[in-house]
Amino acid sequence: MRNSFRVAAVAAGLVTVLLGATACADAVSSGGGSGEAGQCAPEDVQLVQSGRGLDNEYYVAVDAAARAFAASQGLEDNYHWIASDGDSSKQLRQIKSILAKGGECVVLNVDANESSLVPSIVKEAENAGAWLVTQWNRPDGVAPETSDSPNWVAHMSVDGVPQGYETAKALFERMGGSGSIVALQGILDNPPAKERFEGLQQALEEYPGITLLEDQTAEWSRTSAQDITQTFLTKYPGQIGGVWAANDSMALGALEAIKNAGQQGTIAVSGIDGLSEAIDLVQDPASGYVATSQSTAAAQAAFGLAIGLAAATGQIDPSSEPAEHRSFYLKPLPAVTPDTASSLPDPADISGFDLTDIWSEVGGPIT
Amino acid sequence: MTRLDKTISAAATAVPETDTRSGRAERLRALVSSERVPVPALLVLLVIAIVMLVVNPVFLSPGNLRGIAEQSAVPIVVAVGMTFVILMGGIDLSLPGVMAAVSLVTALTLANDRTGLDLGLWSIPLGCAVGAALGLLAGLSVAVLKVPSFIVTIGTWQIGLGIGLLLFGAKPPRILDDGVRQLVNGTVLGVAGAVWIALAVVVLGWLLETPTRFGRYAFVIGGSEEIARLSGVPVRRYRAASFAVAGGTAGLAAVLATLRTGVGDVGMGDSLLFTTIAGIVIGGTLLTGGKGGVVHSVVGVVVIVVISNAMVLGGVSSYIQQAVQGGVVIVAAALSLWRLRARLRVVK
Repeated sequence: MRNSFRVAAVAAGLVTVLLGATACADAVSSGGGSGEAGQCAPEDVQLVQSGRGLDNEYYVAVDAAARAFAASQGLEDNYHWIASDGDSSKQLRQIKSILAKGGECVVLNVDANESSLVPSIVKEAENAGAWLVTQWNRPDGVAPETSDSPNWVAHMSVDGVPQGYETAKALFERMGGSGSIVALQGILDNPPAKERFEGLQQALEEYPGITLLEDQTAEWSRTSAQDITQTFLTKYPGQIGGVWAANDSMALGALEAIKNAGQQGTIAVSGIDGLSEAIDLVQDPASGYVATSQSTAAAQAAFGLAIGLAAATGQIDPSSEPAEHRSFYLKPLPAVTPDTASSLPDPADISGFDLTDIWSEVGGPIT
Repeated sequence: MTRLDKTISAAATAVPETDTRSGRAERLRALVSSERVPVPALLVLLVIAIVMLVVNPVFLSPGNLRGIAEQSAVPIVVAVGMTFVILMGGIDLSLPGVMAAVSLVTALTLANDRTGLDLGLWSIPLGCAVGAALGLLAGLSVAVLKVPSFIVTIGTWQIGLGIGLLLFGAKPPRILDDGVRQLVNGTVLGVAGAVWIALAVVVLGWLLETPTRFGRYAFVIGGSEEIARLSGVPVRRYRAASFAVAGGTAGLAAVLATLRTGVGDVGMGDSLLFTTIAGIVIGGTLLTGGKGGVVHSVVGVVVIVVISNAMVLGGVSSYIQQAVQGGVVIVAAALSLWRLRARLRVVK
């Protein structure tokens, strides 16, 4: 407690320190909330969404969808967006100061900057008695259902295997089921990168006519994907029929390299993530961009906050929820192909969800 | 006493001995130890080329060399400007921020899918000017307020990033002006426009380095700022100018990169800082200043680009590539700085 007090003092200055001191006292008197369901009145709840930064289309949609959810609950003024800007210590500091102010009625929906940060965030939430839902990242072997306290309500992620599999299938179909492809991977130790690549390999097994010439990591980056694809095109002249990429940024970089080589339309490209630029290209048959996936931003934002809110207000008692409600993948969505691209909802649109059932988008357990 | 005598006589006889050796070896040694040519970095390139000749001869095909040139263009432009800052013993870390701001400015002032602006070619000098202004801000803070460039440029990095984020809005602006994009992506004599622009920047940088006062003083200031100041060199003014030059080239690089990919992107310069600073060091420009130059930096940057290209062509598994790249960088840097290491030992 003294340690966090000191950090808060440095970070937030004297005024916040005084507020923080009273909040800490509150947390102590409520006994750290262990084993108890939340008892907050809905209007007292602070909804906090934390992600990387608004320089990224996905997080722009996450923020918009989270705000829309807050508005749907009449809590628009209680909604906060905090950007980590890729800085783990900044993210932890921001979460600490918000918890110091809001205490046990804070609902956090956090995309942790890196897996190893999750235990610290969980500890902060437990100490304050606040309600935490995590997204995407967490270290292996650490899960809400195995933790002692109810404060880490749930962990939600998106299964990359069906995404990689569906987009690969669309790519192979466009190639007529035969030919050679190259693959661009994400940062190799990222779980989504691993899962998506595994999905590609599943699809390759079903299409014996397709050969994977080579895979390389372009680390999610558009520029390196463009450079690597350019090199692939000189390494395998006339052999490449398709480029499978683990996200849209890399697929767009690959497409740019293909364009500059004068081969647009003859080489098919697929990505994942559902960036608006990619969805526009999928609708244009001449572009060669054949598939991407649907954005999961809205579901992650709205259901993440909804589950946390249900815990804070005592609607659910996290400790008595089954394990598949506490660590789960969202329901897989079909790939975006030329047939479906024009009828997609906005990535921040939450109107299609049944938010009265907070478990309605639960797909399967995270294994 | 007798031992000293022996040493003296040995030294005396040694002199004519080296003179009688063929002058060719002597000239070669003079070339290798010359500071005007980045010999070690060129040797590294040669070694990579020889290895690749065995591994995958496609490496030396015209198509691949053209690819290397195109991939080097942007980091080379950055390195030319950055060289002057480093020659004076400073460092400019603001690159990712400057490029973020300029990338968005470029994308939004060319015909695009977000704003009604269409400045055409004028957006190129505009991008350079934005970069130079951010550089000048850093330069003046270093020169007038005497804050270390390390900290100041982290500050201007954040400012640039802030401008970029502000302009970014919700999704990346796409450039619709294919005419201006053609300037970078279209080919002249079989080589992309970006490469010619980078070459022009290298020539300009070299002309700035060699005969001008700015270039000469850069070496003097980097060698010893005290001596420069005592000799009446207006150190502050030149130092501020070096950051403006670096900002200007970072701006131009952002314009080129934006035209190459076709969208305004805040994350555009993220990986470039490593490529350029590692390239500059491998080229033999000292981070402490006073030694090196534009040509050194260019060769160093090409080494870094060639390493990643060669690894893809060689089919090195993604999983060990990072480690291999790091190893090659260390070996290359050690080779480049070997000579200086020996010299320092003699001096001490």
